[in-house]
Amino acid sequence: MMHALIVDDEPYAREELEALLLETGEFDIVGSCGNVLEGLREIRKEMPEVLFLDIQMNNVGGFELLSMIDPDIMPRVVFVTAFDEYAVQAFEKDAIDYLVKPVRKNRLAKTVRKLKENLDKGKRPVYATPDIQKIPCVLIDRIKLISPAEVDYVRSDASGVHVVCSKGEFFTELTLKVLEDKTDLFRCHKQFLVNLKGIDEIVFRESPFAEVKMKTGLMVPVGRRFLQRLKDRLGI
Amino acid sequence: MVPPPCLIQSLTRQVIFIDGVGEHYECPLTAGCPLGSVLVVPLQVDNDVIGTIKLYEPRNKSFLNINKSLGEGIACLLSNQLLSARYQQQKTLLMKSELKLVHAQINPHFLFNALNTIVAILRRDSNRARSLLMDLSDFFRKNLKRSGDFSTLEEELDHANSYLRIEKARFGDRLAVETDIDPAFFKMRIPTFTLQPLIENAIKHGISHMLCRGMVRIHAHREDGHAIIDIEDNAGAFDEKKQAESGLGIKIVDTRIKNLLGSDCGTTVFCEPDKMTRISIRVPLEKCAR
Repeated sequence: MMHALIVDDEPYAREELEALLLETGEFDIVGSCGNVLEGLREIRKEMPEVLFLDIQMNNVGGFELLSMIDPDIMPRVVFVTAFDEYAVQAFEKDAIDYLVKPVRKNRLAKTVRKLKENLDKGKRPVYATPDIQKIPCVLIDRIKLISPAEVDYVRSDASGVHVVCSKGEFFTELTLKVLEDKTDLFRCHKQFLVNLKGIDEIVFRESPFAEVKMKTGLMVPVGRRFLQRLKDRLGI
Repeated sequence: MVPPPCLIQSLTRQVIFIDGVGEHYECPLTAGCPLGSVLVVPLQVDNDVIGTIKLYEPRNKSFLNINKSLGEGIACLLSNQLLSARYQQQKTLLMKSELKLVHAQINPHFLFNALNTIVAILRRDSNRARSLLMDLSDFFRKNLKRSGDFSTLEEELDHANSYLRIEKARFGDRLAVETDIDPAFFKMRIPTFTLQPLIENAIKHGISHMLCRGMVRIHAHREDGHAIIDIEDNAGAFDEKKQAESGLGIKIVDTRIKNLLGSDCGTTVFCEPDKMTRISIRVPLEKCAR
């Protein structure tokens, strides 16, 4: 049985795909998510082997979602789309397969064969994913998309990862590592990323401690191990 | 028939002048042709040569400079008129293609996602699936068939409702719609394809970004001789900066209303970020009552 997760923002599309996957008898559905944040959470929690991913989702699309997954737990991705388009072709070489909706049973059988072959090889897939343009954050009733350029800093604590910008502080499902790899935000502390363009001054406290003062007046700690890297990066 | 060499040359945009004095025109068609000199001027539109103006004189008459100027003048005048006609034609084409674009909002994604939803619903409720197929069919038929610049508000609402029932099925409980329009407005005639594209816009760029229930409200009221139709969503995601990409639908609808009903009409957008976006359509009551 392959552990599979479905991410699609339309409830009936998820239901239909889930029914089709179960009919094959080859899948164990570990979850079915309606948006990118739920998707990221479930991928981290369930670490599925296969991800059936809708490309054309409304706030954050399927391709962008891939950029937000930690490479260490990257599942095999099967793209699902309502309409073939250029974007799919661009990713064709990377994706195990892609399906068009409505999905035909015998077409799905082919996907199953491809997946099994690939899983037998055992290697985790690597996708050439673009940088993250918008960081999806959780608001009570909506997903807020914040551009990395707007961010002052990102902080992680026991409760999770928080993006801090002029509009406030927002919770996100993205990890610090993913944000460090896929945006220009710079790691200045084990638990902090900082926007270099927003730095006003570096304040040296009692050695080896330092902080950066942001143009907005906010203070961000600089870790002992990260100070030299920060100075190098800023050319000072 | 082989065109005479001078015509071939002038198709390469040159003015050809064989004055009959230094050089004689040799007619390639008839031996003993009485013509002795020629002026060939290309007619150009947008850098394309689409024809030529040719003036001939018989061998016994010299080609006057004034006639040469006349030939060139006629060619210039005609070229300009052709250019202006082409410009007008393209302007009309642009208007038409913009309207087509509004029609084309029956985009393939919508179609296949709708079909996929219906396929899923068939598994457990064939009556609902049947009624959705009817809605899809109505929606497409109206998109393809409705011609003419004006429709009654009732027709516009019918069209929008077919669309909305499908979207409600696709979004499940994430989309609710509330329509509250006084039937007195129903017979009012407004530009065709006004309502549905704006509602689609509210869903696509507003509601679809919400995690919990999105609400679209459609209202109408009177205001100093005008009817105002409001389409309101509770997402408040309208972004003026992103207007260029997302607001194309609004812009086309607005331009169309202004063209058909005057510049004091059209659409306006009011947005309270993260709370609500309201698109108001303003049309004159009296003009639209007819």
